[in-house]
Amino acid sequence: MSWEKAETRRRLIENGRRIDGRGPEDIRPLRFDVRVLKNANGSALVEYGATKVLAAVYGPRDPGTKSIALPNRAVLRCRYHMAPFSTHERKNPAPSRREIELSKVIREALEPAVITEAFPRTAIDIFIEVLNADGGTRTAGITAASLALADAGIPMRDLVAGIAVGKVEGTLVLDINEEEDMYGEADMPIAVMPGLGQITLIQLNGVLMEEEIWRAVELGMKGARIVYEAQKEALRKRYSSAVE
Amino acid sequence: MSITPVDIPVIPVLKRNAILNLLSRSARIDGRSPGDVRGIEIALGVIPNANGSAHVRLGLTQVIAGVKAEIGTPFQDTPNMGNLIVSAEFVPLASPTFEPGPPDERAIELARVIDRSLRDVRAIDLEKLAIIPGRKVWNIFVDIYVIDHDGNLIDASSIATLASLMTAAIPKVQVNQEKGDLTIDRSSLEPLPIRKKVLTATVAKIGDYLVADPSLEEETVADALITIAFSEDGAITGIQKSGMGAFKYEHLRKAMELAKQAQKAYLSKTLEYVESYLKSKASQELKV
Amino acid sequence: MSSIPAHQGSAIYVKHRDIVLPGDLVASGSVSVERYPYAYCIDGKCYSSVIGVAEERGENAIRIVPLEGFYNPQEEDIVIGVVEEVGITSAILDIRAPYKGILPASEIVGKQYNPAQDPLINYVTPGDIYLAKIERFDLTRDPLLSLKGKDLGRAVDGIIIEVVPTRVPRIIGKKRSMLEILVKETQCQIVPAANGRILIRGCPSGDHEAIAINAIKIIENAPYIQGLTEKIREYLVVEKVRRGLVMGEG
Repeated sequence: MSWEKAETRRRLIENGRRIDGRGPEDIRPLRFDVRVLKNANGSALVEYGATKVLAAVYGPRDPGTKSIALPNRAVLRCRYHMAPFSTHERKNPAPSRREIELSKVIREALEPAVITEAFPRTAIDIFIEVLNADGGTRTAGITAASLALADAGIPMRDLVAGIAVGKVEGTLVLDINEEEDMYGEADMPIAVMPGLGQITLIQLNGVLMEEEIWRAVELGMKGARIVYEAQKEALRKRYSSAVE
Repeated sequence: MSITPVDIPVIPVLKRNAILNLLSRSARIDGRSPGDVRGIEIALGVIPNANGSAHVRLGLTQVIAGVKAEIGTPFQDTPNMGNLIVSAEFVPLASPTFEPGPPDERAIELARVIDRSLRDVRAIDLEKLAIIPGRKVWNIFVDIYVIDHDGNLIDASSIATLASLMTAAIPKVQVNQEKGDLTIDRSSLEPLPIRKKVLTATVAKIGDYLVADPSLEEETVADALITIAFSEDGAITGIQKSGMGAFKYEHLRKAMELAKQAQKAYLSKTLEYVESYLKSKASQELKV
Repeated sequence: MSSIPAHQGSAIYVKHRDIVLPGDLVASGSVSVERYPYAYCIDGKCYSSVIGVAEERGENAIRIVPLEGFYNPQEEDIVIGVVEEVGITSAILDIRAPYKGILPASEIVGKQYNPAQDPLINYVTPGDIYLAKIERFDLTRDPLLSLKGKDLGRAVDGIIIEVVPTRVPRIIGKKRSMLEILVKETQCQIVPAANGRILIRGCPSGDHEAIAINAIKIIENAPYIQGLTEKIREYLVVEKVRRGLVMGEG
């Protein structure tokens, strides 16, 4: 509704502080929990502020149908889906074109990480459910899926860490929330394997000049490194008592 | 659910090695340099029932884009703006790997990437497409029809989209103030309000090498692709990485250089064909 | 814990019993790193690919042992499989792996088997449990099972419990020391299979069986601590007293 838009048109960034009080390079409070589901082979619940995403992994397992199996590697089957109650207005549960695109883009962000050649003729199923959406859901989904894959014992070249960079009122900001995404000038989700310096997802929604692109990518890679450390911490925490 | 593609033609290892070998000497199998784009041909106004249309050949890839303008009601949250809706279909006859049925994820991705590249930079002035604000607006549908796949469908589709929009014509509409209805004058046509000319440029990464406007063979052996959308003033209006591989930061920087050059080549060809078409149409009308 | 020695020009970045995570750099240069796919090397650097524990394997050699995960079939392993499907010439078994185990009819019925005269379903039912050996496995086909071997065959009694497959070596222990304690103290027959299934049968009582299961679960969840074998022995003795299975020592 346009009247709503006019009302929220207060400043998105004022005196270097964003609407939620963060500085431009501050990430929201991160909370990562692993092994949160009983049935899935691996699972993780990931929170970036109010964005809450659950990921579960099954496999490697029999694909169920020979027609999708590959003779020399496992196939990944990835579903990104938003729960109907996750958004401000109830979201129709049927897969939208956006969810179809994001399922592809997320699968392609995880493909370079999973050592699929070790499990020919199998399928690895990755399910990402957005429980509450407040910006950066696909990058939180990638972060959660990496944790779930590690939890399932599926060999990976590195964890994949995701974060979204935005531009609000002329300033580049890290880890955008919903409002910054909707009313800002640009939104750049990025996912990285930080140990290898490989960018596995990068998209731009909005308009940036070339010089801003590089600053945004650098900011994103810096942010991804922070997410990566938090992922490792969450995994280590489970096993810190495993070895004396 | 997105599944690792299993229908990709198996490229023999020898072929990939041959391609890499050539690239190490900055050569490609079709004789191009890494930064060269293929030959472009654009036929305009080929679909008489559409408001605008373009049949693009980019090398052997062929795409037709058709523009249909319809009067409808605006979306709730943008009552004073018309709408641009971009869709794409990978028609089954275009490739042995395309199957009939609902649009597959690649077609959806392509349409959304082109849509976003135009939307955020406001390439079309949608406010000028409001007829009766809050009640009646122009809805502009661009339907991208891929009819022959020899690689780089997105750049071919982007060229077809821009060319068809630039040569589209919609009837003038008069609003009758007392009766509140519309008079559509189909004999009096006007162009769409285009503010920015946006085109995508795609670069493929094969090993450590980068090539612009990849052919189908190059796409098949590539680790990953990056598509960058530019408006004619050099602003970047979209980025999409696709494919199952990854890019290092240095690769991205190099890809940007190749993409900028490719987009310039696409733009100059597109403008050449569009200007020639509009000129010949104008002189035809004068004769009548 | 001191660092593990490496040869000139190489380096090992982990210590014995360090926890490693996917993407952790564990070694560089000529170090021998076992074993793929739990670790991988690229451009002279080796990384862990799983949540695991690094172990010293001698000079200039380390091994990454996964802490989580499914069973990855290996030839010669003993596995416990559950029949899922009975075909004409073979039965298909779930072996808790990404691949199903194939048990040929000739293994079940014998060399003279004629499928036309005597359907395999007369001999095998879905749900049957078999202790089998992986005779052949390569990545182009599903694992082929065999019943040729001591104590292999259909399990007719007892219960099966499941543990994380990578814990099975700890349940057996160095030189079978842990397994011997379990068997001695519980008086049950305990058969741990490589695929994380353990057959427990012939226990003197339900209590004995319960104690055996609990002890196994403790080992599964226990840290890589020193003296685990002794701790388990203690647990078993105390539990038996608590349940009145033996007279206490006061």
